[in-house]
Amino acid sequence: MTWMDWESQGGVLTSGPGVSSWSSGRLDVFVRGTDSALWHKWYENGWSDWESLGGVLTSGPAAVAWDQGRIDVFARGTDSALWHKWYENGWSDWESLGGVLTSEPAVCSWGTGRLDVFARGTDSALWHKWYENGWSDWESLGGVLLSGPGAVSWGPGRIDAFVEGTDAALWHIVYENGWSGWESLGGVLTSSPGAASWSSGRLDVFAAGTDSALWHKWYENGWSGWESLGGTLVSAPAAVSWGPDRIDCFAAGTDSALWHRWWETTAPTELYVRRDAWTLAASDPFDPITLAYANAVKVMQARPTTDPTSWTYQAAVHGAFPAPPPGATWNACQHATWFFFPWHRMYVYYWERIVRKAVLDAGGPADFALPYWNYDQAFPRNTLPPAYRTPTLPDGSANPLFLDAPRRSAAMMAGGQLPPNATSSAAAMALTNFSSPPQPTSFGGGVSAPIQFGASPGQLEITPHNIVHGIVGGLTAGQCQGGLMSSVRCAALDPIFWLHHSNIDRLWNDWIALGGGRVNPADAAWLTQSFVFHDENGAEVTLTGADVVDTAAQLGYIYDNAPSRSVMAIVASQPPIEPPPEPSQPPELAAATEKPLELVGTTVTVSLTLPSSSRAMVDDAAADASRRLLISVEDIEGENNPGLGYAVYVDTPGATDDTTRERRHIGNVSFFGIELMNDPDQPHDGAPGMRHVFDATAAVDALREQNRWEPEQVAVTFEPITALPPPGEELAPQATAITPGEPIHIGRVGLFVV
Amino acid sequence: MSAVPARWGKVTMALRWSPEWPTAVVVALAWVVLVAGLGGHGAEVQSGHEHHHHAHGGLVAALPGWSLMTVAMMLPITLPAVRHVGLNSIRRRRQWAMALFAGAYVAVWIAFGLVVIAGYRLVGASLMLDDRTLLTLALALAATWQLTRAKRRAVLACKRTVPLPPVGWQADLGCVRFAVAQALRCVRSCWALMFVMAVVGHASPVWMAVLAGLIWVEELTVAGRRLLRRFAAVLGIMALLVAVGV
Repeated sequence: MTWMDWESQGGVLTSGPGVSSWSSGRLDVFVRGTDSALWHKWYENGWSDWESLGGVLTSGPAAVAWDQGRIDVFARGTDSALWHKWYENGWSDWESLGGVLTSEPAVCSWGTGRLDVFARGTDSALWHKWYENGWSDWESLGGVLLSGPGAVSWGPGRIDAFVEGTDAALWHIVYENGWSGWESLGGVLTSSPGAASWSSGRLDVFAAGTDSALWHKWYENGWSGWESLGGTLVSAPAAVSWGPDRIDCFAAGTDSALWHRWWETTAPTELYVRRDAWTLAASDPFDPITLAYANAVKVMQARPTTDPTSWTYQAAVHGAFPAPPPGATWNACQHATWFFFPWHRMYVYYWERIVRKAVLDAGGPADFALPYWNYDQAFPRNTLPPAYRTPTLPDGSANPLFLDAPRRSAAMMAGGQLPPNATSSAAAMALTNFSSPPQPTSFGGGVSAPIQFGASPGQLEITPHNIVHGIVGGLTAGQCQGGLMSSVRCAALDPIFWLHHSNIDRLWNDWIALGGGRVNPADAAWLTQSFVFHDENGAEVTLTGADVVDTAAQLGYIYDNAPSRSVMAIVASQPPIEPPPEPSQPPELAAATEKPLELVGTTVTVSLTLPSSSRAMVDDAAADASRRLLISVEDIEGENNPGLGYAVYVDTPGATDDTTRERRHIGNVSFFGIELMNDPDQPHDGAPGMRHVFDATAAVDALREQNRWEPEQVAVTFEPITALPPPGEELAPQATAITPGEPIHIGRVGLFVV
Repeated sequence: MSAVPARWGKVTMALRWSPEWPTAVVVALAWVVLVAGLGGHGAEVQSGHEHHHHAHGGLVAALPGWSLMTVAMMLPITLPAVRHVGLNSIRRRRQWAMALFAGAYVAVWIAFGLVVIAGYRLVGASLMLDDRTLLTLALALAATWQLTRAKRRAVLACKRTVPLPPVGWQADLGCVRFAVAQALRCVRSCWALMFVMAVVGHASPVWMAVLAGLIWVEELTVAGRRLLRRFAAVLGIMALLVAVGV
C-alpha cells in the first residue's frame, strides 16, 4: 500500500475542490471555475473532460454520493446562502437552502436519503442542516472556526466533523446518538480540513500545513500522528474513499490546476520464497541465489554513500558512525522496544528489493529472494554458510560475502559452531504475549515510543538475535575496525547480517503460526507507527506496523519452512500454554546480590541470600503454578560489546549435578548496543545500564523436583557463550581465545516474585 | 453500589504500580505553598532597580524558600528514580528506602543552593551588578550550558541507576549513594537553570513554572534530549528580553 505521486488533472480553479464517489472506480470532482460557475470532471475507466454545471458560486463546492447514480453538490451562492444541485438521471436546477454562510460547506451521508451539511455561520460557529424526508432547520454545534469544516460518515448514525480551531489546530466533533464535545487533534492547519472513511472505524483527515504541503492524520483504534504527503497546495484539500485501502485526495496547485494524489493497495504481483541458505548451498557453496547476492553486494558497494541504494547508505540506516547527510534517515534502527520486529521487517524488505533490482539488472535469477540462515540446527548448519567463509568467488574475484577477522569472529570464520543455547528460540517462542508490561517478559519487546535503544528487549531479540550478533562479530574495535556484527553502527555492513535478520523475521512468522493466543499488538500506537525507508529506485517510502503483519499478502514473500518444524516440535513438547494472568502488582523483590560483579570472559557464580522476610513468599510462589519467579540482571554496563554472551543458570550453591542443567538455563545476557548506552547523542531509554529479566520458574521447578531447592539461598551462574569447534576438531588457539576487552559490569542480580 | 469498590480497586492497583506517589504528593504540596505565596520572600528581581539586598539577606533565611523550590522543581525529575527504588526494595523497607532517597537527593540540592546563593550574592555585591544584569547573565549562561556535550551527557546520566543492596545498612548506604549520584548528575545538568532561579527567587511562580517545564521535558522525555538546542534558543531570547527591559 502506498501513496501514488501527485498527478495534474488540469483546469483553472478559483476554489478548493469537492469530491464524491458512488462506487468503486468512480470519482466525481467539482470546482469553481474562473467564471465562478460549477465545473465537473469524473473518473470511470479514465478521466472525462471538464463540464460546466453553471451557477455563480462564492465558495468551493462540497459533494457526496448516497448511492450509485446519485450525487448532491452544495456551495455558497452570491447571497451567502447554501445552494444545492443534485444528479439523478440528469442534473437538477440549483435550489436555495437558506442560511448565511461564511465558509464553503461540507457534506456527508450515512445512507440513502440522508444528507448532513455543515458550514461556518456569521458567528464563526459550526452550523448543521440535514435532510431526511425533508430539510431540517439549521442547528448550531458551537465552536469557533477559522475556516470551513470537513465531514464524513463511516456508517449509519455516525458523523465525524472536523474544523480548524482558533489555535489553527484540528478540532473534531462526533455524532453518535447525540453530539460529543469538541476534541483537539493538534497540528497547525492553514486550510479547511477534508475527510474520508473507507470503513467503519477508519477516518482519514487531510489539511494544508504551514509549509503548504498536504498533511494527513488517520484514526484506526486511535489517532495516528501527522504525516506529510508533500505538494504545494493553494486550496483546501478534498478527499473521498471508494472502498477499503483507497483514498483519493484533490487540491489546487500553485498553477491553479487540480492535483490528485491517491492511496491504493498494490497487492504483490509475485510471491517470493526466502530459502534456507544451507539448503541452497547443499551442492554448491555458490548456488545461483548466493552468487547473485554476492554480485549484487559488489554493485551496491560500488555506489556512492550518498545513493540511498548503496551498501553503506543502507547499512547506515541501521546505524553509522559518520553524521548523516542532510535529509537522510540514519541510525533509525529500533531495539529493546516493541518496534524491533516491524522496523527490521520493513528495513530488510526494502533492502531486499534493492538487492533484487541489482540481481535482475545483472540477468537474474528472476525469483531471487533473500536467503535466511537458520542456525538453530545441527552441525554444519549452525556454522557460517560456506560462501561466507570463502575468500573468492568461482570466477576468482574477491568474494564480498567474505570478511576476515577481526571484522568477523576468527572462531566462526574457522568453522566454529554457534552453541545451542545461543541459537535456540524455544524460550521466546513459548511466550504468548507480544509486548510488556504488564507481563515482565515478552516475545517482542516493551511498549515504547520509537527509539533506537529502548529499555525492554523481547526474549527473541535477546536470544538468538543479540547473542548471534555478538558471537558472529566478535570483539568490536574503533569505528568498524573490529567485529562488524557486534556493533550496532557497523552490523549491517556484514552481508551475513541480512541472512540473520531474515531468520529473525521468519521466527516472528513462526511465532504467530504457533497460535495459542500469540498475536501482534492491536494498539494504534504500534499499528500506525510509520517508518521511512528507500525503495529500489531510491524513492522515499513509508510503511506502518499495520502494513507488515502479513508477509505474503502485504509484502509478497514467504519462507520455505513456514512454520519452522524444529521450533514447533520444541514448543509442542511443552505443557499446553494458557495466557498468563495479568499481574495485579509489580514484581516484588525477594533477594538480591549485595555487591556488583564483573564479567571478564570466565564463569562467575553469585549467591543471593534470601532475608527471612522473603523466604515464605518465595517458597509459596515456587509451589504455586500461577506465580512466577524472575531473575533480573540489572545495571549492565560496558564500553563495548565484548563479542560474547553469557548463559544464565539458576543453581543451588555448590551443586555439581548437571542432569537438569538445560532446564536450569533461564536465558542469556547479551550486550548488543551496549556501546550506545554511553553515547549522549544516541536516543535510548535506558541510560547507561541495560536490564535483562528472565523467567526462572521452570528452573526452580527442576530444582524442587530433585529436592535441591533451598529457599535460603539461590545461586546464579554466568557462563560465557562462545563459538564451539566443529565436531572432532579443535579451533586454533587464536580463534578460541576469549578476548572480552573491557569488562562488563553487572550492578545487581535480583530475585523477584510475581 | 459495586462501582465504587471497583474504582477503588483500580486506584489501589495503580498506586501499587506507582509506589512513588507519596513523593509526588509532597511535590504537589510544595507547588501549592509556593503559588499561594506562603513560602516566604525570595530575592525577587526588581527589574531596572539597583539594589543590594543580596549582600545583606541572611543565607540561612533564604534556605527554606530554596528548599521548597527544589522540592517543587527538582524532585519531579527524580520521581522515576524514586519509583525505581520502591520497585527494587524489599517490601518491609520500601517506604523507608524511598524516603531516604528523596531526603538525600534534596539535601544535595540544598547544599548546592547554599553555594549558589552565597556565590551570586558575592558576585552581585562585589561587581555592583543590578538584578537585571545578573538575570541576563544567568539566562545567557543557562542558554550556553544547554549547548554543551557535558549537558547532554548529564541529561543522559540523570536516568542512570545505581545497584541497591537488598537489606541492612548496605541497603541504606546504597539508597543514599544512588540519591547522591542522581542529585550530583542532575546538578550538573540543571545548575545553570537553577542559578537563574537563585537570581529570580522562589516567590516567582511563573519563572518557576517556565523553567520547571523546560527541565521536566528535557529530563523526563526521550525527545527532551533532542530539544536542548531549542531550549537554549528560548533561554537566549529570554535573556535578550530581560536585557532590554521587557
